[in-house]
Amino acid sequence: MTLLSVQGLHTHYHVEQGTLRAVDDVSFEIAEGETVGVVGESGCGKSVTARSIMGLLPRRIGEIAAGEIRFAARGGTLDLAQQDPLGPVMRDIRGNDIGMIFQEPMTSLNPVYTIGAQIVEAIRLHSDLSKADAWAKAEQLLERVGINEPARRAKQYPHAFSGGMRQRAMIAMALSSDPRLLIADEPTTAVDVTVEAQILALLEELKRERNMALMLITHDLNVVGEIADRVIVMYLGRVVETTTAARVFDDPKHPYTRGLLASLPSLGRRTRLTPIEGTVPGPHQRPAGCPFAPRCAQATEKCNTQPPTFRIDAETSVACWLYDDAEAGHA
Amino acid sequence: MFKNPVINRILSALFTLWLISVISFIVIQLPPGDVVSNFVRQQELISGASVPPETLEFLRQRFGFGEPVYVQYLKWIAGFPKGDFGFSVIYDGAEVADIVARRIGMTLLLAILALFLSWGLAIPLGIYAATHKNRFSDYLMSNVALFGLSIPDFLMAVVYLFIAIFVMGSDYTGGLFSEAYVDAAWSVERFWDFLKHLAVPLLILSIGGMAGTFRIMRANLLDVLGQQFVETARAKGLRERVVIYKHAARIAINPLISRLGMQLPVLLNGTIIISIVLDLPTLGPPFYRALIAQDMYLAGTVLMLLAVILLIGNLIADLLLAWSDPRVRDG
Repeated sequence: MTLLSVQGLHTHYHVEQGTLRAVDDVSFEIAEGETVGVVGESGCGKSVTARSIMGLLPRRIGEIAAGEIRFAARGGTLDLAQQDPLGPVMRDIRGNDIGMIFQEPMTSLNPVYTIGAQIVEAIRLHSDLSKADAWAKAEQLLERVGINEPARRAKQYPHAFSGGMRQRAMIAMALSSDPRLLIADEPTTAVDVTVEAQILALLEELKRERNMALMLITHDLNVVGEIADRVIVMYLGRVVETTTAARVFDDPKHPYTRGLLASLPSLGRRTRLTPIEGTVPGPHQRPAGCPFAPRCAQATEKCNTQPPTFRIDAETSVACWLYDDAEAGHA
Repeated sequence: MFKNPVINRILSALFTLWLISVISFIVIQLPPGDVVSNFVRQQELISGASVPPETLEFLRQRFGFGEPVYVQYLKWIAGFPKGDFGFSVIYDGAEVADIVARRIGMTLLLAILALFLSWGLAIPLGIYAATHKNRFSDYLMSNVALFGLSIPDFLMAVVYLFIAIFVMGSDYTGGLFSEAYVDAAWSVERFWDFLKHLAVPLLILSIGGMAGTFRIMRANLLDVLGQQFVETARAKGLRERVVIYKHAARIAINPLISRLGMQLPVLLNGTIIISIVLDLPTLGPPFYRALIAQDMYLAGTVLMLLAVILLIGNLIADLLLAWSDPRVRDG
């Protein structure tokens, strides 16, 4: 069953230089219990998409200009795009139905409150538990995410925790109200590789045991390969390819996805890494047609107009003119 | 030096105290001639009578005139435990300790009330300005604050007196009581009269202190609001008010606490200067007269007292900060 359905989302940032189309006509779905990886370089709109869903766009700067964010909650579906981001409905969705963890574990926790107090705050916000029960639950959660001596650790401040431990504490906090969806925005970018593997394994475990959907935002295709079911590849605010995690490695369609893959080091393959030519254009120099065309080796005249999304089969669709005969079958 | 940071802090404060006494003593020694000869000359000028030789001899003995400088210093500080800080020339040989004791209460009262008033107004205004950044109200407040910061206290006092007397026709001429109540016993009317008079210096003092506190609070809060843990708090589903006050403002106040130690002496100086303009019964007028008349025991003692209060203020600020910020507390 579909848990989250984003349709035609446009998110605009009003900055001094003008209006920036940070998310430009993005559509995707996340089913219950599914892990979806959202991949792309910095500035491609991954995080803005997540913040649009959470109602956490910067006030007076970010704005959902068009589109729907349908979320299955309270026995029906709710269009989060229509809600007041600061209003009671969104506040109840945030932290309760949708949890979120961030890239920077070192700065994600408030330095003047204990870890336990911050988790208890989240628990009591969305439940009627007494303070003592909430503390007990916070300790259980800390233990569940792999923190030793949770009773003692809960009374410590964030500065006594390492980066990996803080990220675990963040996960405990995000899970405190049993959300249906966890959005993880680059959760392992700022931690060591060994810690990264542990955190990913933990997210995978927790997701399975709670039948929770996971939206994993990352710039690292390897992370996606490890735990995602499906992959959404974004470039300059647009979805360029939607496919399964297996296919993204075996049969990437979009030239950008191929480029990402070719620039990835892998064990046992002694070939040169091929970086994608050029850089992501600045947000104010968005190309008129296909956003990737200026960096694409296969670009043609056609690419001066924006390609629609071609559905290749039930699992894969791609926004590239190379596949405009795809309706007929596999390209 | 010692394991316990509090003991360390107190020991270093004692050392600083000693240094302050040395510097104050040097200041006392600066003018040509000694205080006793100064006193003799002054008494002869006023009454024409010469000081009895026994008194002269007693004073020379007491302060060690004619003996090496270090003996004079030791004799001076030897009086401190007995509350003997020397005598005043301009107050006809009265004890410095008596003069100071009579006026220190009002001095501290004014300075501390002004501190509370300026914090009580500046912090909420700073929070308001930071959460309404770049809007008209923010521009207005920031510019008024800059204006307030640029005007020295004494000028403000003179401007106030001018407006009150020549524009509004008030009969306020300074002091803390109307003429009718100066020597009256305490009564409701006298207290009301006192409050009315107190309001003037209090307002002038707090406006001066407010401007700086407001600007720091605004800048701190803007800085904190950009940090990740504020978004974490929003992602929990907390109300915006809780996010601002409990998670952001709570931390933005910490640098103000460390500034507290510096602010108290500034306010004391302001109190002294304003008291000279408005003729208030604080340490201001005697200190000013003592400096002009080279009444060095009085001037040196007030100077030393101000330094001691600065020291105590800093100590209190350190302790408060350690209480408020666990990162400071733990090292």
